[in-house]
Amino acid sequence: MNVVVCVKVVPTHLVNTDTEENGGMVLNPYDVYALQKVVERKTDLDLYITCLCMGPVSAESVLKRCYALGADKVVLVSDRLFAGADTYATSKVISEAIKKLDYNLVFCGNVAIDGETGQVVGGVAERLSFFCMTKVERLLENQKKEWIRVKVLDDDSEKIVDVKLPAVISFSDLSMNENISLLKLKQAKRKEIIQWNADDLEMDGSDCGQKGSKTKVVSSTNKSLVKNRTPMMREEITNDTMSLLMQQIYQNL
Amino acid sequence: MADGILVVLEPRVNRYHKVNLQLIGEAVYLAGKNGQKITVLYTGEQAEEYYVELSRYGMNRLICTKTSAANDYRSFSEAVIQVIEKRIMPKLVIFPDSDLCRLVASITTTRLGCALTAECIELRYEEGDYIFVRTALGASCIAEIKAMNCDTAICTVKNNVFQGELQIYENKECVLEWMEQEHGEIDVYYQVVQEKVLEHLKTMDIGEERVLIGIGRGVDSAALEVIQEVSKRLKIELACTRPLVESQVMPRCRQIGQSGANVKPALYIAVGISGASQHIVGVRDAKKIIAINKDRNAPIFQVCDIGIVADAKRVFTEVLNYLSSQEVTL
Repeated sequence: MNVVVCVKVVPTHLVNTDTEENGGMVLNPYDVYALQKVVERKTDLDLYITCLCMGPVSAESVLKRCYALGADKVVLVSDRLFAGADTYATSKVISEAIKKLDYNLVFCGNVAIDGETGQVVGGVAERLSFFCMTKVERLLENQKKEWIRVKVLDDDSEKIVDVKLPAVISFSDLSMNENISLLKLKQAKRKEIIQWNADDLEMDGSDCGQKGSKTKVVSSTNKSLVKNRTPMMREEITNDTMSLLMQQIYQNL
Repeated sequence: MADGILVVLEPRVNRYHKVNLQLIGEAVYLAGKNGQKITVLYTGEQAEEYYVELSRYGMNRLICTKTSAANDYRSFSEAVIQVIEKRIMPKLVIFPDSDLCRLVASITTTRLGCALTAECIELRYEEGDYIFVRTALGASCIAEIKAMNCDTAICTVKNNVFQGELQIYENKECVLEWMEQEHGEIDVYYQVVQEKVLEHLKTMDIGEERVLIGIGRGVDSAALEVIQEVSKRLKIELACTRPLVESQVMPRCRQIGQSGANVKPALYIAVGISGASQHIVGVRDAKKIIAINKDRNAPIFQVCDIGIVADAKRVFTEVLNYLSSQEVTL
């Protein structure tokens, strides 16, 4: 069975908050989780896995990691016309690329760690007229043809659900550990990333990128949302420190 | 010409009642500025009872339709689309922040070609336009967003961000309307094979707590044990940062911050939390913040009211000692 896993590349410092490095890119950890969970079933469900990414050409080297994680094919859709897209225009490009691939099972991560909107999943499902199943923890062994069995982790229950294809499935979690061996990474570096532009998707730019978007950012400021406070500092655990703490707790309980 | 405000309620009233009321309060506040009419859509099971309560809060119209919304997002989406297309054509649609509503918002947007801004923390009305404010890039910046190329702007709003008090308008007329859904049978696209309710996963609404202890990566398992004991004795709920959810120390429903909950406790005790903006943004409305951290240079000490530079385990062991001594004297 041919399946698509949608992935995004995001700035490194949003994933690894300890790093001082600026400008680096990594795979969105929510998408890494999705890919890992699909690869888990690669053999027994006989999956041919295509990773699909919309992003700048510079995403290419990061995307090779998808091969190391177990993807069979990686497609990067990239065009200047796609730049500045909001979720509406992004889901348009992604769904056009999926139509070109002609697959009927699509996997997505829960959200991207940079935008944190989680809105592309629903948009893609609607544009493809596929059923959308969210909050999936993992894939299970299949029972029926043309259906996929998944484990869903809802707010307060755990369900095993059979989903009829075609479907878009999004996962519940993220993975901070890619677990890639050096050997696999080395092999992956030799593999090709397939690139498609707007022409390949037969899009003329009117319905993608900034032009095809329905929202625009009118201002973006770095000012902190959090106001600075001037703290009363205690450098040691003394009786005074403890009674201050206890007093605050009792006052507010 | 698009006109009016549509508030879409989360049909699972039991869990989201307070959030639903927050949205109505915000809509009434915006309508006070621009004179727009407010329509509320409720697709849940208890329409009659809910109408009696909701109608007093200043809305103009309540549309009810019974869907199996909690189970199937598609019938819920169709109801929203039908209201927007056939009934009111609003300029603004507000959804609460739940998995179900986020999905329905994106389906509606895609179908109707509307603007969508997710997880807003503020809504403003300026010179005839709505401005949607949300955080971006790990809460390091605030983006103000406007709709373009469309008449209707849709947004989902982060829970517990609106401060407004609900007022009761005894004399304002609110029309109750029942809507028959026009869509045909929706094909069965999934079957639940097995369901297990997990008690420990039951969503805990930390948004209601007056005092919260938040724990971060600086809390090791030995310290956590002591903190849990204090939390049990004083009946203070625990909250946490994202890394603790990722390492499965804490459930996601207790996560505070940009990808978690927003809370407004009277007192927030941040333990072993460095103070990354992604977390702090979720507690910015706390009345008082006490930070406990070993690292004198942790950024948390710039945004707290009381800072204690100390080992978390030692502090909470002292708290336990204090509690035990109180019990003896009592």
